[in-house]
Amino acid sequence: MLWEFLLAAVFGGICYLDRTAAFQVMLHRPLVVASVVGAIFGNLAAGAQVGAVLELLYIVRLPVGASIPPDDTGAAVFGGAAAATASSSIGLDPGNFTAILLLSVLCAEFGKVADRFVRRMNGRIAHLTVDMLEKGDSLAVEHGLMAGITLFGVFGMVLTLFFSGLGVSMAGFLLTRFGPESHIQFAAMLPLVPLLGAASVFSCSRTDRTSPVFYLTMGCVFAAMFFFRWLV
Amino acid sequence: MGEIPLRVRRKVWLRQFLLQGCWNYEGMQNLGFAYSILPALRDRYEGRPEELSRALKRHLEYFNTHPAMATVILGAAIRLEESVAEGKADPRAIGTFKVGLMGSLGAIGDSYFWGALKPMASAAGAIMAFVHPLLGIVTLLALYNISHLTLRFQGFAAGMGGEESAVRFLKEAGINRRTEDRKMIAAILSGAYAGVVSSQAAHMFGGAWPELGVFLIAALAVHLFTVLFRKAVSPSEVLFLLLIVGVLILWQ
Amino acid sequence: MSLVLVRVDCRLIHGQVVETWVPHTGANCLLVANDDLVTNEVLTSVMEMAVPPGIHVVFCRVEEVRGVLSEIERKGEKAILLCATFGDALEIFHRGVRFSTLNIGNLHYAAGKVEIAPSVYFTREDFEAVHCLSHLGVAVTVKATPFEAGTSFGPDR
Repeated sequence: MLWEFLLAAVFGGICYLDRTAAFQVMLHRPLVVASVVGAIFGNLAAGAQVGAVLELLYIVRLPVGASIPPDDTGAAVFGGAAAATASSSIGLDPGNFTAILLLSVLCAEFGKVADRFVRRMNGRIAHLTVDMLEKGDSLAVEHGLMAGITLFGVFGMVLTLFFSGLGVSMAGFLLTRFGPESHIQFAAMLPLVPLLGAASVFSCSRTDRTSPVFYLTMGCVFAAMFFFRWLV
Repeated sequence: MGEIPLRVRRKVWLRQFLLQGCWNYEGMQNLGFAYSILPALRDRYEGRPEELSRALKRHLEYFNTHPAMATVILGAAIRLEESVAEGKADPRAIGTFKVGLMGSLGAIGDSYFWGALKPMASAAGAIMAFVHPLLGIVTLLALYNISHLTLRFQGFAAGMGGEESAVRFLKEAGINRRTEDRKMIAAILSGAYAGVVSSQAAHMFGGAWPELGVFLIAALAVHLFTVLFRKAVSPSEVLFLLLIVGVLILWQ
Repeated sequence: MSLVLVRVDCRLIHGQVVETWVPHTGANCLLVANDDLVTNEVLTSVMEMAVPPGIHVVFCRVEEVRGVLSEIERKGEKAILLCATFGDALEIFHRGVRFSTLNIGNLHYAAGKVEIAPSVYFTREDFEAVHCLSHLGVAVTVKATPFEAGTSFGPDR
């Protein structure tokens, strides 16, 4: 188990760096993160299932300027670890799936607060850098930037350890408590979460212009799948 | 003094990926910008440490734009520094240029990358993940990064051509039109995704609910969520509400 | 009323305005009041590129805002008014453009400024301007995007 957590922490650190500090090549997207974390904890497909839903949820919250969106990377670490662990013991039924998705919002909001904290610490680094430059240290800028990157990376690793630990322990203790049979009503909420994600993406387009296209596509795909199921 | 050597330009290009490495509330991308432009400054102000440090302080002023669009400003700033180093231009022009362009480029980048390309790639990835998880990941990364890395590089090259070249690039790249196209595709893809989800829901509820009823409820739910988002309700708040409802259901 | 939002933001048109405030308020016109910008064709042309099609952008001098606004009102458009400093906002108010709330987006850091919110830093003059505006019955709200809770000042009546 120790190796799994260490591996997850290294990978998570890289993903968190990709989120803000470096590259922004979308390694930090929930679909990628939850799948890989799921694979580390034993089930890629289960992780990906959660990741695909989380992928779209917070898209409407753009990271514009100083406004920080909920931490969907953290939610994906939690979701991937929980889903993979649950699927290997009690199975990923709709009840568990719903519980994981709904609880991941706590991680997303917590991660946002942590992110804000790191950026404040960076403010101190920036001040120090300017002071060092005044004193004639020509490498101050390089050192300052490396300190910032390290801070982002270390924070990412710590958050990943925390969220994956939370996910694994929740799958072990909490999810077993509500069996699939007795909570059909709870699982009935499941479709609402991916629909929220779809609405999130839809809201990014100019809805007054795109809404006919959106609802038409939704209807066509629904009808096509209905027809297909009726056929076979 | 000749052109900035390729070796130095390559160094700047690699460094700009760390633009947000020390993102902070006061200067935002200031340290990252100074870090990125530093190799070029060292090349231009070789043997003139005083001027180098003055130039560096110029670039430690507040700076913030979209990280992928910053390369346009970075390239043009290098060109401006060149003429300043040769004594042909006023150093204040660099600050004016950076500040003048960063807001607009931020808006262009935020709309295109965060508001159009990312939603589109994410929705495509989520749909492809129904087929196979790895296919979903590859779709997401490829759709986003082909456009992202190309624009980053083209922007840098255009910026290195000077101010006029940078502005011409922005006009000719037609990012505005591309943004609208990507947004439309994102809407279509998310519609398809919502269709698949509601079909799965209809299947999950079995014969108990008529299919059309499930579809109408799903469409209504999406409509309600969009209205909430427009009223600035965060997805987190909706999820919290669902979480509370879920706990109440389990409590019984 | 044709004015749906009045905002002080040192970056004027940028991502927060275009991607969050425009859909939130349903505005179809952006009015940028800034004396330096009007004469700079390069910057205004780039700024125009940043605005989605279907949204009308107008650049004008601070003193012209009232006239331009009545024109916008006549066309029945909904406008967001953007200015770079508190000083400009106050001048616009004194020139007869009435608004009941003033939104503060970004006022960036410089040495000696006091932090009000992340990315909003006030000088002494800014505090005086807020005081003055509160006196005039304008509620000042610091809020970068509509998703945030924001901080409010005044009005003191």
